[in-house]
Amino acid sequence: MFVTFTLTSLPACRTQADEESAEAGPNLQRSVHPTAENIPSDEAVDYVIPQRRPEGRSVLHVLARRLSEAEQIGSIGALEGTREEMIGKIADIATGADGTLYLLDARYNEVRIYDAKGAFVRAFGGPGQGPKAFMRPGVITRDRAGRLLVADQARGAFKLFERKGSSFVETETVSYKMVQVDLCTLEGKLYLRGAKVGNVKRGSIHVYSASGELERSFGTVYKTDHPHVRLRLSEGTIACSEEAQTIVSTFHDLPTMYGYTPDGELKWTSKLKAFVPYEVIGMANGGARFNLGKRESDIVMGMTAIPEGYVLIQVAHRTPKDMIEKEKMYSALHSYLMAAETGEGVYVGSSLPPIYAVTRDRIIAGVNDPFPQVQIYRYAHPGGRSM
Amino acid sequence: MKLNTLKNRYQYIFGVLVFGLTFVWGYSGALPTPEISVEWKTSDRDAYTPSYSAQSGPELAFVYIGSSGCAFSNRSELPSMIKQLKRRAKKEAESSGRSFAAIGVAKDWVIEDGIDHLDKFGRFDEVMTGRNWLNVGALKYMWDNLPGAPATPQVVVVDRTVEGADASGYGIRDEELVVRKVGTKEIRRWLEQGAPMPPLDPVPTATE
Repeated sequence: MFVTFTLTSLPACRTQADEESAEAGPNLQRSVHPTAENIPSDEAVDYVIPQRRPEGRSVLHVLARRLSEAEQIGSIGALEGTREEMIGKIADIATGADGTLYLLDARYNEVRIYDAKGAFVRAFGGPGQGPKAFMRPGVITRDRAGRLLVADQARGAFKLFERKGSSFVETETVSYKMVQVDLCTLEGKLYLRGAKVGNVKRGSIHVYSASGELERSFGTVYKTDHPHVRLRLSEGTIACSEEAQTIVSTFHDLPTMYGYTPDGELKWTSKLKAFVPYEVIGMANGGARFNLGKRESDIVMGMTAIPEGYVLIQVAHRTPKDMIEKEKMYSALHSYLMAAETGEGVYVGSSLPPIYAVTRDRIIAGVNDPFPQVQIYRYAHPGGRSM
Repeated sequence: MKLNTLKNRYQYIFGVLVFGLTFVWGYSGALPTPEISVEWKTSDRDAYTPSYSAQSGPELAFVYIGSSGCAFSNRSELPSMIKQLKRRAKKEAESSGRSFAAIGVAKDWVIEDGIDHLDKFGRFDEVMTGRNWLNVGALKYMWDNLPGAPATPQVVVVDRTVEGADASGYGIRDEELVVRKVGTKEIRRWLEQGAPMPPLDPVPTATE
């Protein structure tokens, strides 16, 4: 999933209502984050991934080069046209095994379905609070059974939709009390990455059964006594690799990635060498100040699973001008490729657009400026699993 | 002034030097100089004017949502953009046989601040201000009826049906989102692109 940071990246004033911590810790002191405690040293991780083009002949290296050389072959969305041709805003995209695209539109609050050739099939949803309606849909994923799962950030719930003939029927709504979630599925389970308001210490990854019951939680959270900072800096993104049987998790604002087994056992830790986190000040009154415009900084925008056990990570690099004026989301978007089994990674480059899904031969990217458009790329997967 | 005397020549040279030095100094930015912009007052001939009437049937409504306390809602370019977009939306309504309404929402706590803020954006058929995020317009177009991104400034265009404008029983129903643009960048981009909107359903004629 690619985090569009719908609100934080807009030149707009937004509500803080969905980010307040439930706690107000006593005796707080002013603190500067991220702390060294939360960023392991290079020696303490399994892999440190540099920001330079890889030279090597392993499948990892070859795949990285092939991704950077991907060629655009099509697009969906128009500046002006019919309702179906004009996308409101791309929030997320999921793919089906047959090449079907499920586009989550954050302005029209609906799921738009396109066939493998990019032709519009149908849409469902709409703005609202009732069945099949969304308030602020942010993430979509598809499980092995073909169900669609959509996280509605404003409702604090994800909705499950099952296919019935040619349409989708809402079968379940599962509430979670979390902010900024991300989803992926593996072996029939749903892995929800989010910081639980009021109880963030339980873990950052929450496992739900196929019927939507919370089974357990695991995963690293940001360590601090400051509740607001802990909640905010615990946010992150997640990707599930079926081939590697690994859940890869990372924080938006920290350089570290973690690989877990489906049961929550830590397999590896990796780190991005060139990542510069922005400074967050924890205030004594419980609030937090984000020094976005102080220096250049990075933020993990999203992760996407790639067939045969790989994960693509995209990191946005922002200058102070980007963060203050918000005319550009970022100055550069860096892509890294990791082997989900081991955590080994290489730098792909900065030429790829925001990527939402990758199949064996297609990259599904999306941009919202100058107008929302899905961009479809072709690449040649070298085959061969990650070790 | 005659330059044939030595004294006058020196005065002249001195004056040129002072002028030149000051010019270079100011041009280089070393000397702080005030920025002055001159704007000709534009004619209000093309300004949006409410119809001060309502008619039953399809209506296109243009909703601006902002706040006096929001820095992005107070960008100097925004009032002009919103005024242009109002006129553009009205043309779209007229070409599709719909009536039109411009609605201003200021999610200020202090009513007077909200009214002052909306005043910058020209005239509206209807305004709502007060109660911050509990403002009825904010609730309607960002949280309840047509939920979307809770952020300002924002522009929402909706297609709806007005009922009972002949005083037999007022109502607005079947409100559907046509366009939503959030943030100054999206609003500006949309205006630059000509404010494209998906085609509206044709209005049934009386014989249908």
